[in-house]
Amino acid sequence: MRSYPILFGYRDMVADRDFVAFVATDGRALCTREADGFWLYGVDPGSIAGGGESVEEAGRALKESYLSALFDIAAEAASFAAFKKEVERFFAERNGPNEAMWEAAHALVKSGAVDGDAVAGSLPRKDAALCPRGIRIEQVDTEHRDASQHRFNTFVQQEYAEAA
Amino acid sequence: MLDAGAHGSAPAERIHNWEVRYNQKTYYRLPLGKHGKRKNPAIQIGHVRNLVRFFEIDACAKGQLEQLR
Repeated sequence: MRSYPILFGYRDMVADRDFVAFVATDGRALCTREADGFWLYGVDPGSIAGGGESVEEAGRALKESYLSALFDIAAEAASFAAFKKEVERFFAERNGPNEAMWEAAHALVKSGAVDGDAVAGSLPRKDAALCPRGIRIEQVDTEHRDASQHRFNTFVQQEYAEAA
Repeated sequence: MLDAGAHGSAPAERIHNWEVRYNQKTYYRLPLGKHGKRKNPAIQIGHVRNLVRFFEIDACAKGQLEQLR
């Protein structure tokens, strides 16, 4: 099956009884057209996945997969510090085989050997070298909250351009 | 499959997912049955495929599940 390298950026608020957290994740996923539909498999974080009949549907399923993991971690965390530690671990645990396939797919795209438009043509293209991966978790000051704390998601993106 | 390919793994039921710990790694997002079967059960093998790669138990898992071959 042909696979394609995908970048994504999520910006979310997660609330629990004792804290509200802002979580910003910039990660990678591998898009594969399987016999049963399109799938996005997590690279970092490596334990999420989403499938659907289109890439867009798979993207929505991946976001749901990611959020449900955060919600479960929040429900188990006794404090913001415990939540932060566990979410950082969640992000750090890469999926090694998916990462190897992501790198191989990335190399094919860079070489021009693959036309990703056939699968993910509706997604914007981004240079992977300009999109550092990582996760940022901050406790929201609920006593002094205001609209400046809102953040938009960056869309699921396919990486296409030459990496520097 | 986990008993055979990831002996000693410890699945724990959370609100939305099974959380599976094995070999010092944690897989956070194996959907609970009621969620996995809710929309499109035919595509949910992808979650299993991702878990198998995450724990690198391909050889054993393929022997257990025909859908992974």
